[in-house]
Amino acid sequence: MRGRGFLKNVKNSAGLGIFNYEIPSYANRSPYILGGITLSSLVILFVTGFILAQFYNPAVLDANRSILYIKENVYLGWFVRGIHYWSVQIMTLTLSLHIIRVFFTSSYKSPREFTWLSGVFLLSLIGGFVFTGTVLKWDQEGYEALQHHLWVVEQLGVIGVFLSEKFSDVHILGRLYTIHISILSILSILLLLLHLFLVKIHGISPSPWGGEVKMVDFTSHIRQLIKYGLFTLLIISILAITVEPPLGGMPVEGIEVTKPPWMFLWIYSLENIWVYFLIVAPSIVFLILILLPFIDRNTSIKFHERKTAVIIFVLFIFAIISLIVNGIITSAGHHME
Amino acid sequence: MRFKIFLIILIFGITFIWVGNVYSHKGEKHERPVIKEVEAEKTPDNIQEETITPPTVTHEAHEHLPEMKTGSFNLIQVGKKPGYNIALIFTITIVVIWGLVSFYWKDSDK
Repeated sequence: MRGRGFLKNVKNSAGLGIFNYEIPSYANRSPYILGGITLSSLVILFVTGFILAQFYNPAVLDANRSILYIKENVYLGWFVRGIHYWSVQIMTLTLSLHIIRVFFTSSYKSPREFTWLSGVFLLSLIGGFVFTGTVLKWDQEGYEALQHHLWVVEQLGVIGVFLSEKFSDVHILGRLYTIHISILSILSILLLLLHLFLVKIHGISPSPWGGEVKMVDFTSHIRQLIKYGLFTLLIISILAITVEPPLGGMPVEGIEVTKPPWMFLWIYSLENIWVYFLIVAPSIVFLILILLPFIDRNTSIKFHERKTAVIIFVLFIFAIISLIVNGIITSAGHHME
Repeated sequence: MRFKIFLIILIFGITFIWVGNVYSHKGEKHERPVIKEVEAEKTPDNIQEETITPPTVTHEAHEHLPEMKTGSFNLIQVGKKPGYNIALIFTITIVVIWGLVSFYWKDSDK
């Protein structure tokens, strides 16, 4: 009993009582855990990224070799790198599914507009992580990703100058490494805290299926998060010990022979049609996502009362998947001038 | 509750003893671990890199066509990587913990 009293005191002093509140029981179902799974993957990425950073060298001549060293010579380096790589793949998948769930349950609608906005900005930061991570490999894929990036910032003129080669004498690879490990990390932690804070403030969004809602303690949700988080880690570990992520040799300048990672393939497909889609397509999608809660002013959360929005969204998802598939099956092309 | 703690300690205990047996020092002094596979073969032994001859580029006159390696997914050869057994034990441990957690918290989604 004395032990329990002590634990209670610690709980009160640490402010853990903040977790003692009720949430609807449907929040413990898997579609509502997708955000938590994404968070688990992000934590795994931070931990493995911290380990990889001890061995990675962002100097142009050493970057590619240092990754080869990690995967061949560092004890368990291949495993840590594998976990880092597969966490990104899982996180992109669960994040996409989380966004789809949020749309279908109308969780972006008033009063949760800012929760949605913080999520959209987090999505763009994750995109930044994937892009910079690809470049850091400094193989042909990474090199070509950087060439695309430099082309984009050149087209953007003054807006893109901070991310251009001209901005600093330090090589862009080293600067992207700094962005990858510090700037994006700090921004994503801040935005994540804001996102979670807003979820706590506004609570779980009402279910579009209606019916009587049973309330449960939030600690049951934490238990679900741990369960799903462990399962995610398990899947990632199995993938890491069976399939090694690709790593090419040192890049060759002036050619384009690779495709981007699968999450960017929809842009790649559009770029094949018109090279400026590289700038236009992500900008339009980002803008639509930002404006979504303000464009869709229909207050109803039931499917049959928001058919137009649902149909447009389904077509959008179908288009993105089709473009990704198209990107997979088409052969690599030359885009940059 | 006591049973759960006992079970977790038992699983970790057995794993610890087993790892200790497999990787025992047998009275040797601690030295920097030498990974024989890596020491013997500096170049990666299981990379099936795709060699590509890049297409000619109109805007740039290449005097020769360089060969380059783009990399591809490789199935990891069991036991070839340094610390493979530890990675396997880590994964099995996650399976056990996940199994226990799922069993004891099976009603939390209700």
